[in-house]
Amino acid sequence: MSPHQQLHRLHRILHIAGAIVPKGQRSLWQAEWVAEIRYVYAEDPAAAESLAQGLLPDAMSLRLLDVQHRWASIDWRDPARCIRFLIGCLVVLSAVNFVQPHVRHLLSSIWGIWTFGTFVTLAVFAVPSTVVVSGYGACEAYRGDAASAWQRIARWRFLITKFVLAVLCGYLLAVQVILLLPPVLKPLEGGLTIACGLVFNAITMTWVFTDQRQRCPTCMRSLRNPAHMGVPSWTLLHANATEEMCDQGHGLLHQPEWRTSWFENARWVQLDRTWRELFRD
Amino acid sequence: MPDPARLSHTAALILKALKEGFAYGFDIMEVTGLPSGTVYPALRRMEAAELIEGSWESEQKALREDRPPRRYYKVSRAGNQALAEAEKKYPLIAQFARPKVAKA
Repeated sequence: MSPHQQLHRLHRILHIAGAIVPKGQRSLWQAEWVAEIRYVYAEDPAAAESLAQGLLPDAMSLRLLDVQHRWASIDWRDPARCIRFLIGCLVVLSAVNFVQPHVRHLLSSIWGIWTFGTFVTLAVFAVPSTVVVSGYGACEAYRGDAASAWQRIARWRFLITKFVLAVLCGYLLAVQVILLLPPVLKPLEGGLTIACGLVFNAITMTWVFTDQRQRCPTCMRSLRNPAHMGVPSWTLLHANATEEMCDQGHGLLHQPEWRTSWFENARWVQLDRTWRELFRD
Repeated sequence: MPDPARLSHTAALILKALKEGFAYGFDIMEVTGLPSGTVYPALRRMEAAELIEGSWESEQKALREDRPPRRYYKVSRAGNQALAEAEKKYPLIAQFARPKVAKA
């Protein structure tokens, strides 16, 4: 290989690997590699070849670091993030279902409409039981909170959006599960659809209400920093509980371990504005 | 910053080479015998973890000598601490003590 061809090849590898590097770091990365290759090539062209083998792993490591950094910087406590996550799940499940022509046909058929109707009905019927299972009904979280009317509307809007998206995700997932059934079980399809609907709705509804309970009623951010209160050996003498704090300083959720504790049920303890100073970043 | 106890043998070796004055990728490759596909990604990870600091050579100086500026790395304070911990974990790393001799 002539020196010209070799340089051309090295340049091409550099260009290909550069496309993998995150845009903000690309120019500096290329400048560093151009300098490295030039120095090594001037001393030993063969060594430049072995050096260039590191271009792709290096570019990929930078991309991986960028992905890790982006992932770590995602604010999972944000209610908007929760909705975006559910929309993402719905988009993926819709794509998986609608990309298959026979599933697309099935979903628009009488069977599809009947299954969807059954699923939504089961979801509505699953709500009371899952509210009890999640402890949401017993939670007095929304008593005495200082949320404004708009914040209350936002709270309900968040819950309803989560409910609708979770039901749709559960339905599309259940369709895929039903389609995976072996032909032997086809006669039992109706019963299995209902069973599938019960299981999926129980899981999704429990998650919807448990997640809602674990959020601050004022800003809807997920609560954090669970702290155990009380002394385990003094079960009856201390108010044993777990307290979860809102990271914006709106208050804390007191979850008693014993009904004889300070509160009988989980309760939101609102903190006034004087506490906000402690929660500034 | 990553836990120093989790610093791999290779990362510790690269950190040691940097401390001995081998300040850029190819130099480290030559002295450690590690391939470029290992050395450069390790440098990126350690820089992200603030164990090493990268800095560009003076552009004016490089231009005067008609060559592109080079990027040099040096061990940070956190990197020195991590290296001290790693030397306890990998005793052979401590024996790698060949300070770089400037080329004639």
